Amino acid sequence: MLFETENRGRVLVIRPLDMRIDANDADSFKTGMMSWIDASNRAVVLDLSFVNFVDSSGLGAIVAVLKYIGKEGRIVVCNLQAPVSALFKLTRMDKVFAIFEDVDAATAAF
Amino acid sequence: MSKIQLVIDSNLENVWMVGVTINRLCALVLDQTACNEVELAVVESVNNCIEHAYRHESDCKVAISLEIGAEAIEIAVEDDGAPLDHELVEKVQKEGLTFDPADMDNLPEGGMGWFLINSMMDEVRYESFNGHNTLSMIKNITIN
Repeated sequence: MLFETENRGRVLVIRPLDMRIDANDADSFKTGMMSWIDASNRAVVLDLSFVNFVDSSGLGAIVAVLKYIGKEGRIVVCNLQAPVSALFKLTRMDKVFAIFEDVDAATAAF
Repeated sequence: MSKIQLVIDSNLENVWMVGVTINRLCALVLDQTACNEVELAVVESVNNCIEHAYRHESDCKVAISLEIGAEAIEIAVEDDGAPLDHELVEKVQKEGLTFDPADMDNLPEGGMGWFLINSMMDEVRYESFNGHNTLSMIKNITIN
């Protein structure tokens, strides 16, 4: 999976460039995300602006990244497209993740 | 009544094409939210066939048929692999998705697929007979 990153002070914004996070590339998403956490990034914004489809494996991978950063850091999400936002609500992951309208609001949360 | 059948090899790389095709076809009779719901249910069903019924073995077939009627769309996802675990199916249908959002260590990373299929569709029926498994799903067409 391809990503684009942006440093905003101590916050790292990570933007997957694929339109789908699904069973086929959940592992590659997870590996990519974990490599930035391993590189000592503890304040992460996951910007899903390009992603219009997430399945249960993709959602599981996002949860795995949240667990991986654990209590030592924080990951928030932003720019959820309608189908992705509906999935977070239905699975109650909107109670697990802090969700923001855009990158500015997400960055300001740290 | 119009009907199409798509057949793919059991490889996760092929699943998105089924999802996108079904979404676009449903757009003729459903609103975008409903199309997205159907796409998610179909993708989860096909993933289940590949990951669980065929245990990631390639060169097996998954058949997806879509029938668009006047009042509903009907989808069948068929495979010839191992049948679904009935106890799991019944448990999810009865209990839904149960976890404590505040308990980070125990958040689910898997096992949400069947819950999603049931949530997205109006009717879901699973049958396994003579090594052939069929998941039939119905989404009602509602006129606004």
